[in-house]
Amino acid sequence: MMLIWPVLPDGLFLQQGMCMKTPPHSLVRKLAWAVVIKLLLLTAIWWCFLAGQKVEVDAEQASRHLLMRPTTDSNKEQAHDF
Amino acid sequence: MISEQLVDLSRLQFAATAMYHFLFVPLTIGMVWLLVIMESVYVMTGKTVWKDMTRFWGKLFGINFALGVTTGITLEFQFGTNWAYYSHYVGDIFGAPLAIEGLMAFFLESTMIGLFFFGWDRLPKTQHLLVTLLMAIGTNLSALWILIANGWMQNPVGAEFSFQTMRMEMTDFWAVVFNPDAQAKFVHTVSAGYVTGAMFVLSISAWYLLKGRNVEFAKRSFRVASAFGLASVLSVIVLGDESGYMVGEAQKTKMAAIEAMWETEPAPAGFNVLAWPNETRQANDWAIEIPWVMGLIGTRSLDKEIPGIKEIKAENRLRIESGIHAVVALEALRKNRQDADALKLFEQHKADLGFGLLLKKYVVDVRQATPEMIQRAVDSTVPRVAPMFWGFRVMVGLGFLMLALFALSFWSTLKPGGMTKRPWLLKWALWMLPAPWIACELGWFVAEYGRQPWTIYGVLPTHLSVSTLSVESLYGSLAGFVGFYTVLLIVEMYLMVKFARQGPGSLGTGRYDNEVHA
Repeated sequence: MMLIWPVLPDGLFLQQGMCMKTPPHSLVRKLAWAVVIKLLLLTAIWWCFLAGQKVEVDAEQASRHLLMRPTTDSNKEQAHDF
Repeated sequence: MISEQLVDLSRLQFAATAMYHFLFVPLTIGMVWLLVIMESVYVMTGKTVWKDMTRFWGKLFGINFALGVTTGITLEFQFGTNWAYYSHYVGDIFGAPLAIEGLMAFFLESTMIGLFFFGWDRLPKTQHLLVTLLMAIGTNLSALWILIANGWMQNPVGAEFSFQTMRMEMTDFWAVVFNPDAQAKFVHTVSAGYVTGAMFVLSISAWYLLKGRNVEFAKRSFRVASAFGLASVLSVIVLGDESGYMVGEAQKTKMAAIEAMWETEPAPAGFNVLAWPNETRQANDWAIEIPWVMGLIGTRSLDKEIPGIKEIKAENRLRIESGIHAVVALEALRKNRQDADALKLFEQHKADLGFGLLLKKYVVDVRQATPEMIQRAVDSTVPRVAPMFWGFRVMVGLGFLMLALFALSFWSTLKPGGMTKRPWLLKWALWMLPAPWIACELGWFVAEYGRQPWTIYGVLPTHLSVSTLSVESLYGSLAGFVGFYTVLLIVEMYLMVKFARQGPGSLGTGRYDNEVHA
């Protein structure tokens, strides 16, 4: 949104008159495509990077995580266990 | 072991997606009320120009909504993917407002938005106005539930920790809903959204007036935006003061960092208008101070002290030492839930459990914590001062600059010749377009960075909240989000600039410049 500010007065994106040929329903089509592509890309990001790394937490797991082990690599003697 | 890199990347990913999401949110929250005002005038007067105004600004609102929708969903998913331990620990409380928000956004807000866009030729005038009003209420109620959830992170009321389930459990739903911190945040945040919507309409209308295009349409839009903006920015300032007062009550570390107040001063404390905080010296290198003002703003009294950072750290040291007992007792209770001595010790110290858990960043067994480790934990309880101090002041400075602009704009609409005879004002309005977004983002930065080192203030440290994902997967997903959101921002800019340049002619009514012919 903020980037409108520098480009609006100078028309960096569009020359005067270019946009006049756009019929009103083309906006709906563009927005529908934008939403569909967004959902597909978000699914792709999730599938590629997160789907295979499920972290299940219950009371026992939370107990182990919070109480029994160190939580930093600032203590170099601790092992990497995930 | 959770690496610091993993914690930092998880925070960066959440911050990046949240800040991106909040480019869209304030405009949606604010513009929707401008649509209600414009359409109400149309229904009352029957003048077509007001319908055209509602439809044109509604079109820009629609672009913003369509591009913004789903960016918030990734945030909610991140609680599960990147913050699994956080979700377990506080899901019982945090999940309720988020679920209500999700239902409200999908069923009320989205339904009404659909009816708004596709109902112009299908609904009578008054029914369509009702739809617009319900759309506005739905949008603002969504914000309410999110801010109730966020307010609880800042001031966790109405809940208690259970050693049986190892999570916070809700004890009073209404205490969560009417959490004063949440209520103050809600009114402050939605008012900031109203300012954003008003500035958007004001700036683009000013551009039309500077270009001499669609002058009557732009004059009316400018008039509505300046009046609504003036009322809104006054609300933001007054309600921001209330929000700041709540911070002083519930989050003393945040307040002290915002004010760069290292020492506890005699009441009423002075206000540092400008200063140069020096973290190493734990003092300000220089400061321009107004006597009494901070005491009056922060405590609403002449005799209450505002604790300085050094005093707060001394208190936090005691809480960390008490928290060690809570952690030890909890470990004993997890081994034997019938251990009466451990239960008694835990009950005595459980209010400081979160402070004891801060030490888990430095040592496995908190009983083995050295004085140096305790000192590091104590120092970590106060966020870095300079970013807080300057972030807050830039936000407030922009707020007052917008107040001046809206006041002058409103004044100009009352004068003969109006705003068209004051091109300097129109140019100022145009160049101020980014101001509310910068102020909003800084507001969130101060709120969230200022909550560190906690995800739930005083209860759950950030470093214990993250999921045990691999660093590689976080780099991948972060790169994916940044790349994807950058493309989305470019698409948003393209569509907004295109339709803003085209103006009301894009409606194809035959009444405006730059007419579109389907």
